[in-house]
Amino acid sequence: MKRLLHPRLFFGLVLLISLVFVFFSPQLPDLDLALANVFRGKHKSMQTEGIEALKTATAGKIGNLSSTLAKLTPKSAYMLINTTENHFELYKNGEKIREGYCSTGSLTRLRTDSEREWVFKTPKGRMTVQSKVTSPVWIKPDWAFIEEGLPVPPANHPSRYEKGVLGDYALSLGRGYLIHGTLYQRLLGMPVTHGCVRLGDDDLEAVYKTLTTGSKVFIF
Amino acid sequence: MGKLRSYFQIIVRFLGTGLVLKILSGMMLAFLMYGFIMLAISPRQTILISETNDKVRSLTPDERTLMADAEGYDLLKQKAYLISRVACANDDSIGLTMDLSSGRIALEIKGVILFERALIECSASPYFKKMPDSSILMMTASPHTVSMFRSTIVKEPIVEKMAPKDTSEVELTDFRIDTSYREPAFLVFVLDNGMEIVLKQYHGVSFRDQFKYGSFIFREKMNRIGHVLYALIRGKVPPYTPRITAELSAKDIRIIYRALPQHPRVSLRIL
Repeated sequence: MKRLLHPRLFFGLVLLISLVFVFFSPQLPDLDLALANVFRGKHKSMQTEGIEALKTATAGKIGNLSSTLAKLTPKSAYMLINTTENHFELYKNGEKIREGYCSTGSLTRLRTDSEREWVFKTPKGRMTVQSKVTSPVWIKPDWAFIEEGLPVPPANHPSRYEKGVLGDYALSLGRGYLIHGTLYQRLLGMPVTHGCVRLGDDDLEAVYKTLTTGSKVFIF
Repeated sequence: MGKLRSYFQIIVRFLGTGLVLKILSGMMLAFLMYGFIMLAISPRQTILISETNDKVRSLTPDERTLMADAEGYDLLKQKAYLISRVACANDDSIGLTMDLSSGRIALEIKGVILFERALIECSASPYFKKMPDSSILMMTASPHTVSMFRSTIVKEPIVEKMAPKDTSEVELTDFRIDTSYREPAFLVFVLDNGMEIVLKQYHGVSFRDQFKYGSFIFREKMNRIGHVLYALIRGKVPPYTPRITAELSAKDIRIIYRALPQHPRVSLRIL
């Protein structure tokens, strides 16, 4: 005991305890609470005669809230697009009827010497199908020329119109974003687009035939 | 520093090494006792703060009656969670819902479930058991806002690219592999009420990634220790952060993190 109380040894012990205290200090309140909870215990028992009626009323309110939430899910066809996994799911009457791979935005920022820039990412949130077209023609925006090192032609120049690259169908989600087909089927499942959503030919046909103008597309 | 050392040497010479060590030991012991007391107080202080905030909307007499019954209390918690989800559904952006009683986590927008997973393991700080039932109800009856994220993964792995000057500069292949898919996943949401939700990868951290994963956890720990010591030195009660920790696959954590906006709303059902 006398040896233990030797100033150097005692100081060393206190220093060690202090370091342990500092290291575990953020966890100490949790330990204290856990010990307190052991001795606590919540005693709940029926105290009021009218409690069953209150429970029934609360269960009714829960039912109402659940149905309010359930009503928010579209009864008609809708589509979910997962941009992290580049995967889509198509729903109709609340049932999943198709799923598969798609391609979404490449998350690339393209800059030019003249300080122009574009970020190629697919917007997230709730979108609406605004229009549907067959045999769509791609009207190439400025970035399509800049990215290929070509001079940018004036608006409505014939070189801006390209047929056959968007597949057989296209569904517009507004602000220039489309769900369309692709020539690069091997890249489905990878983030390679300029913000649009690319689908394989069969999936595109199914989506085109299932979704109507006004259908919701949820992108996350 | 040299001046301080010479002062210290004078004191040691004057009092003797033994007495100086005894004084230092005594000071450290006193600090330890003070630290223990302050840390023991910190959760209670947090509970008091939450009770004060709860006075904004007090429980109705019917709710208080129901709370006395275990089944009634469960119904009230379920109702509070649904009220919070309905409030979230009024938002235009993607939100997170987390139900600890059923062990589910989901991404929702306008009430539509976009993505749902079962939590592999989840736990909550003992604080939530200590919290008054009324506070739990009040806390879960409205959505919280995430004020900050901390993570080992990049939210948007944007790649910078300069436009080619002519066709000869165009890269032959434009596709790049997203290397962030190999990163270990650890995600902390800091909520507006000071609570933290921690999502961590449940397995599959490779040996190569252990260092990266470990250094993130070490930084988190050092940050917390720093806050505790800073408060103790200033004579204040250290901050106490109640936490909900859940384990998911790295892929699911990445999907959740990347889908959420900067300040998403979170609906919770605790225990």
